[in-house]
Amino acid sequence: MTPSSTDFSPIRRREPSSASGYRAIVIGAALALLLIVVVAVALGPYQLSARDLFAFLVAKATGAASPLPASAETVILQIRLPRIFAATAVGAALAASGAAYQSLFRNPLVSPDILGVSAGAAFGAVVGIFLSLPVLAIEAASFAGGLAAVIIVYGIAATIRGRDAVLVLVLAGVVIGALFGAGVGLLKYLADPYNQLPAITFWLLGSLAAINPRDLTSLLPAVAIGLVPLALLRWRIDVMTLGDEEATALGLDTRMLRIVVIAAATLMTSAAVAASGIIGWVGLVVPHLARLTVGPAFTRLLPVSVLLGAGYLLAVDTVARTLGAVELPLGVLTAAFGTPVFLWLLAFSRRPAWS
Amino acid sequence: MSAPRLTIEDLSYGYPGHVVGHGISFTVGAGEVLCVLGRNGEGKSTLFKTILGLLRPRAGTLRVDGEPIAGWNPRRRALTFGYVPQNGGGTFPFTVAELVLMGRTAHRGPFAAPSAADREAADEAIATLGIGHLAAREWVRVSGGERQLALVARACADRVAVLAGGELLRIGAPAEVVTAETLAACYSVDVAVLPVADDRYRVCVPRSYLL
Repeated sequence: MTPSSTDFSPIRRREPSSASGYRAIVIGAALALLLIVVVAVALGPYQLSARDLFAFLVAKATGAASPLPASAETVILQIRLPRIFAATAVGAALAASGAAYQSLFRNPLVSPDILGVSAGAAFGAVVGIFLSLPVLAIEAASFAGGLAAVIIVYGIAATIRGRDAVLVLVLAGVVIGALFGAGVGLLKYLADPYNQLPAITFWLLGSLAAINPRDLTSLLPAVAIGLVPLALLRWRIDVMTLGDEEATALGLDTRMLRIVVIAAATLMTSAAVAASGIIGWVGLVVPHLARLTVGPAFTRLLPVSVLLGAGYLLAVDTVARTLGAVELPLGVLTAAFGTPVFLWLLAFSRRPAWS
Repeated sequence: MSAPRLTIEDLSYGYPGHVVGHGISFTVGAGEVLCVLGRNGEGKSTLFKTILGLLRPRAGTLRVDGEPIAGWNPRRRALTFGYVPQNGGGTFPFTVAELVLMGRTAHRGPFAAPSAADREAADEAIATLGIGHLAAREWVRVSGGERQLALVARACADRVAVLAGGELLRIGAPAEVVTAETLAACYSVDVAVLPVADDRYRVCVPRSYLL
């Protein structure tokens, strides 16, 4: 056991007891998010300068006539802002649900992807697209698929006893995720190749290109509803990381708590998947990074995960739509950024996010 | 001896299809410390899990202050029993202070943050166990004995009537030995039941029960 003060770690975790250190991290993350929002509003085929944005904000705040051309206002209100809201909401949802799954399953390596939730939600949504259902029904199908996946995976892990529980959990998630992936493959094979198949394929790669203001009316409430129980139960979620026996001995109804937290996290993941397709790595890397900076206590982990997740996904989405002439799939980019970050954490972090 | 607080009558305990021990009867009075002696694997931990309600008794009754505890919910049990598990604490790097504070979980509502009273009780437990210097350290990075002390502090922070312990007295270094006196110093811990793997420790407590 080496004293923590002599660690040669690339990541310095502040003393957890210092409230000012935590506050500085939260303020820094919030400012970074704000900066990325401003950049995201300005960047794109229709370039807007910082002065334009300022003039727009002043006009909106004072109610005066906007000095910008009508086309610029349309770009800001109808295209850029909905997409920015969607990106931040999806990023926050994936990071928050990842943090919740990691605490609940007592393993910092689980994520919505690894537990098969994303694959289940994707299968549900593809069924919805295949049956040409309305948007809200696609979202409901996505939630049902995600919930089914996590229940099956957790059921398998609970049934197979006497082996490394975490290993069983992760393997079950991989297997069930593959099964739902096969279901998606079947539906793609059966889908109408001119209308449905391109829609399904594009959507599966993960993209916010097709977001319109109407999509936000189901995405934002779902994310908000999912965040509320996680925020309220933040102290109990910490106790759940000790395992069932200890949590019960400390007075928790672990069954009930697990159901509520899984439902909330799955709702957020499914809403995100329904809006944007499969965007991997955010739910794994962001909470991991947040835990390295502010420690495992959920009361700090949740806000920092939400801020970092929102900022990260918005930054990646802005890169996705401005880097090339053709928009890049978001899921491809998060994987391209997430893999090296995660490997770096794995190799060089002397202060493990768990032991 | 005062009236018994914890009464165990003709208890059989174990897992479904596998009875670990049977015919267990003893009482523990207020302010009393009872050592449960038994070799490794003889079922000390299983007995404690049964007292805590983590396992259903196969037969017999458990009473606290004369009241059978069979139907108690986890919260009521937590407000009565403190638990020091053998390999507890989980794997996330909470600080020792955060871990001890978790001992207060049953004292507040499901959404409530720890109150000033909760923090005070946790601080007091940390001071009683003499681990103030570890409070800001990460729980996963202190020594095995220090971890066990943190778990004892967590149970003490609960200010419970009965303390069912893990392998408390097996800890090596003299400074880390949790004695009956330390436990008695914990605020309001007026009954303690400790498991000990070795007969040697019979001397440190006034009464013992051999499994």
